[in-house]
Formats: sequence, C-alpha cells, structure tokens
Amino acid sequence: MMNSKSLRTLIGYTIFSAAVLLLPLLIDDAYTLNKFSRYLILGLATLGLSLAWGYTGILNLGHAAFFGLGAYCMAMYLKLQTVPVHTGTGGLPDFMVWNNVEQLPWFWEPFHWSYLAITAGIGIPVLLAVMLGWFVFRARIAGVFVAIITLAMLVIINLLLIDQQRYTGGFNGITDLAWLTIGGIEFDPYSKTFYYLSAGSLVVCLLGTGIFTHTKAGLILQAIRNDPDRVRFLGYDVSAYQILAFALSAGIAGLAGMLYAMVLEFASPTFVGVSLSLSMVIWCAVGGRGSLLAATLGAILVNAAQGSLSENFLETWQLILGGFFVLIVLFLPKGLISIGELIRWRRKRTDRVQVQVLSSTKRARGIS
Amino acid sequence: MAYLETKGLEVSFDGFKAVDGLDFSVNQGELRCLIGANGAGKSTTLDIISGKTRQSAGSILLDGVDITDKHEHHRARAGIGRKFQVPSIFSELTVRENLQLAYSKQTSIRHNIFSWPGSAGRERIEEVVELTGLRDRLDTQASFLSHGETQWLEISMLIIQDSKIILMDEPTAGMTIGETQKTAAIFNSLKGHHTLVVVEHDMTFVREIAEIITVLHQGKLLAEGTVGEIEINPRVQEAYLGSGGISHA
Ligand SMILES: Nc1ncnc2c1ncn2[C@@H]1O[C@H](COP(=O)(O)OP(=O)(O)OP(=O)(O)O)[C@@H](O)[C@H]1O
Ligand SMILES: [Mg+2]
Repeated sequence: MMNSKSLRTLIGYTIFSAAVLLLPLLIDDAYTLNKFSRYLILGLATLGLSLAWGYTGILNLGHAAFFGLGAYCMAMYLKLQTVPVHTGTGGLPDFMVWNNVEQLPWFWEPFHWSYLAITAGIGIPVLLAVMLGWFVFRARIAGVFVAIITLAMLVIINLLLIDQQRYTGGFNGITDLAWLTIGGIEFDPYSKTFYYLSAGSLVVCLLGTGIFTHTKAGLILQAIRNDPDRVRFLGYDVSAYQILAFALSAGIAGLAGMLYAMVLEFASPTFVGVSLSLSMVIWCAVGGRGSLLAATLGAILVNAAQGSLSENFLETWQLILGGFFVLIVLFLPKGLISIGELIRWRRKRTDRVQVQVLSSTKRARGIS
Repeated sequence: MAYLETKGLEVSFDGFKAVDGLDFSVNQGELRCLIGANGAGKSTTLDIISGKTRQSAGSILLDGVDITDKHEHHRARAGIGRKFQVPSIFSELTVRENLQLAYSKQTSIRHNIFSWPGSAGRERIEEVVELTGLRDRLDTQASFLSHGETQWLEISMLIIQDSKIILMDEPTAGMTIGETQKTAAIFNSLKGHHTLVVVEHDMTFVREIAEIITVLHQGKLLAEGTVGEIEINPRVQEAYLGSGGISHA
C-alpha cells in the first residue's frame, strides 16, 4: 500500500520531527530557544489552516480567531494564577480593578482550573467552528463567500475583545501572566521544557493529521476540495466532512494559541487580528498549502527569516513578503515545496528524451 | 412494478420549461434508453432524478419511496448513481483514488476516519479496471487521462459504486467504434443486476443495448416503444425533422 508519494511524505515527516526534537541539543541560549518555540507554535497554527484550506478547500481568512480564542483561554487561567498587586492572593486581576470591576465575572470562574481552561482553549474554537460550519456548509456557501464570512467572524471577535475592556483588558489584552505549572512541571517559556512542549505538540499534531489525511475520510476531504458536487453523488454528506475538517483545524489553532499566550506571556487583540490571520494564509501558501508539512515549514521559515531582521527593516520586510507571496501564487501555485516536484519532472522528461534519442539512433542503425 | 417513477415532473429556467409534465417509469433490471434532439430535456431529467436540479412540480418515487425532497447524497445512498454528460471525475486525484472514493458502501464519518482508502473493495476495483482497461493508469492523476479514458474512469466509478439504478448521460461520447462496442457489452452485462437509464445519441449503440426507448421532445414524453417501433413512428420522425433524422441526431 506504500507508494512512492506516501514514502516521501513519511521520510519528510520523520526528518522534520527529528530535527525539531533534537534542536535543543544545538542551542543553549534561552532567548533563541524561546524564539524557536514561537516559530514552531506559529507553524502549528498554520498546520491547522492547511488542513482546512489546502486539504478541504475552505479558504478561512479568520483562522486567527480560533488561535486567539485559545490564547485568551490560556491567558485567563494564567492571569488567575498570579498574585495581583492591589488585591492580593486570590483577588481580582489588576486590569479589572483599574476598570472598577468589583467581582470576578461568571465566565472567568472556570478558568481557575487548568484542565477546564485547556479544555476550553481547544473546545471553544472547535464549538465555534462547528456552529459556523453548520450554517455555512449546510447552506452550501463556498469559495470567496466563506472567506468573507470567516473574515467577518474574525473582525467581530476582535472588536468584542477590544470593546469589553472590563473583562478582557481591551487593547492591552491580558498581560503579566504566570507560568503554567502542571503536575509539578513548570513551563518557563525560556526553558527547554517549554520548547519540548511546543515541539511535542507540533510533532504529535503533524503526525496525527498526517495519518488522518491518509484515511478514507482524508481522501474524501481532498475530493471535496476538487469537486464537492461530485462527492455528493457518491453518497457522502459533504457538509458533515467540511465541518469535521473545519473543527479539527480550529482545534489545532486553539492549541497553538494557548501555547502562544504562554511563550509571549500575554494575550492581546492582535492575536485575533486581521494582519496575523492573513499572514497565516501567506505562510501556508508560501510553503505549499497542499502539504501539511510544507505549510508548517512555510510558517517556520518565514518567521525565522523575519526574526533575524533588525527592527527598522520590518516595514520593508512586509513589502518583500507581499511581493514574494504574489510571485509564488503566480509561478508556484503549490508553494515552495513544488520546486522539488518541478525539478523531478524536468529530470524525468530529460531522461525520457534521452531514451527516445537512444532508441531512435538504434533504430536508424538497424540494431534495436 | 416500476422501480423508478416520475409523476408530472416539471422544471423551468427563467420561464422556459426544460422538462414539462414528464411521467416516466422504468422497471427493475431494465435498460432504458432515453433519446431526443439537442435540448429536449434529457440531461435535465437526469439532473432532477439525481437531485442536482430541484423540480418546480411533480414527484419522484424510487422503489415506491418518495425521494422528491431528498438531498443528492441521500438519493445516492438510496441507490441512484449518476454519470455526467461532461465526464465528471476528481481531476486532482489518481485513478485509483477516484475508484476508492466510488467504493462508497460506507459513507459515515465515524467509519471513514478509522479506515484506509484501500482497505475495502480492492477486489472489486481490480475486477473493474481489468474490464475497462485502466489497470496501467491506476497511479496516473486523472487530469492526465485522455478523453476516452476519462469516460472509462467515470463508467468504472459507476460500476464500483454499484448503485441499484444507474443514470448514464452520453457514456460513449468521444469514444472510438471499438470502445463503443466494448461499452455496449459492459452495459448488456449490467442489465438485470442493475436498472439503467442511458441517454444516447448514437443509434447504433442504442440498437445494441436497448429494450425499450423513450423519446423526449421539448421536455415532454413523445413516444415509447421498441427500437423498431420508434424508428417508424411518424411523430418521432417529425420531431427529428430539421436535425437530420433520428440516426444522425
Ligand atoms: N441551468 C440551466 N439554465 C438555463 N437553461 C438550461 C439550464 N440547463 C438546461 N437548460 C436548457 O434546458 C433545455 C434542455 O437542456 P438539456 O441539457 O436537458 O438537453 P439535452 O436533451 O440533454 O440536450 P443535449 O442532447 O444537447 O445534451 C435546453 O434548452 C437548455 O438550454
Ligand atoms: Mg444532455
């Protein structure tokens, strides 16, 4: 059952996983480690996007909404773990005090418990995706309309977070977070422990989604991307499969968002921003949206490149990145990963031409 | 007893009635040919039966069950399979993957997230590619197939899908004479096990496979009968006037 394409995928996944997990052996600097954790987390979020967009054809421009919701869930928990300056242990978070809130709002209560917070960080994005997907996909809304609706969802959530300053910290978001401690393990964002948490999450999700896309359901998703109408005539409920892919993608984004709040030690409305959301689409396209690994690598590489630039070059960088995106869409629609494909194809073609030349010379000499 | 039955089927596009009060029925295990001039409403009829187009009036019964308000995928599960006039396959996927998708006995998510595409129906796929000559093309991406091969692929998908009733829209379009004969042989072997409705312009092919022919004209049923009866039917001849006669339509 293992054809050459699956074999190549397997090799790619193995090399990537090994590289990611072995990286701390080479890096001792806490700051660099923290930076790499951040890239991997953004890679994880983009992996989720490629499952919805690359595999199923759902162009989700609001992916950061799922990501941001995850981040806020984690931030709420970690905020409640800190000791506020004004109110002391167990008191109200400082930003609520500044906003004259007197009692912890009811929806903050569950975030006293880590397991509830983590469940919410994945569960709320999944639930939102299922609800939105239910309306969108059952109504057979597709293509650019999905893009518009998801973008609208993103903007609404972003505005809500900014507007409800009393409960969300508004523009500033939720800052000065504690470190997550679970089962006696402390996840200091500058530690190897935290790096392994990020890398482990990425590797597990990559392998999990990799296996998932090779199941019959994964094949059905690809068929839906190709021609959803034809899929229906085979008896598959297209909207149900679309909701599945959308929800899985949202869950992965939620997980990535939680890790992101931990690595940066805050959550802010920029996590649910249009700019970040569109950037994820670009990373995905640059790497290659049709491949989970390529999309992940796209995010990691673009961010690593960006991270190595000086601050005052960033504006120009956005321009370069934009231009790069246009070039890729025009000339490499399958992303950077398809360069390999292109070379292989060229080589195959030259081989074939040589064989033809050879056989025709033989024929000409009457050998054959 | 009629296996598929339509009653007073009607659909209009911007006031133009493409199908106009059609009563049509096919018996179990029968192979029925549906003919008619261009624009007679043949494809639209299949569209309504398979759920692609919503009728504006009328009802559809499958094996006595009213399926008029069912979605396409429910109709497919109830046993309706459809081949399209413009071959409709998954061009980004390989031939093998197309066939694995067509093997759709299990459609639920719960089943399909726990199974591999190749784990069921392998023998069936082997059999069918042998029959349709696609064995060497199994790992080819479907977009690289020739037109004839694409037709074969969709026919293969329909055979693998194993629907109780198969609706074929111009299956031999673009095929060579040899390929058309092979198709006729395959269709004759499907008779009895499946109920077939075949839309076709090629009268040589129709003569090879048809038991009874239904003629559509301007969205209405014009005539029904054996090949011999239809060919001498004056109303049919009249309807085909101007389109060069029945055998060239
Ligand atoms: N979606 C549509 N919108 C508007 N008109 C349509 C649509 N589909 C079909 N028609 C019209 O309905 C009529 C019947 O079309 P249909 O495709 O059913 O004909 P047909 O018998 O299959 O013809 P052919 O032999 O050319 O395939 C035609 O006049 C066609 O132009
Ligand atoms: Mg037609």
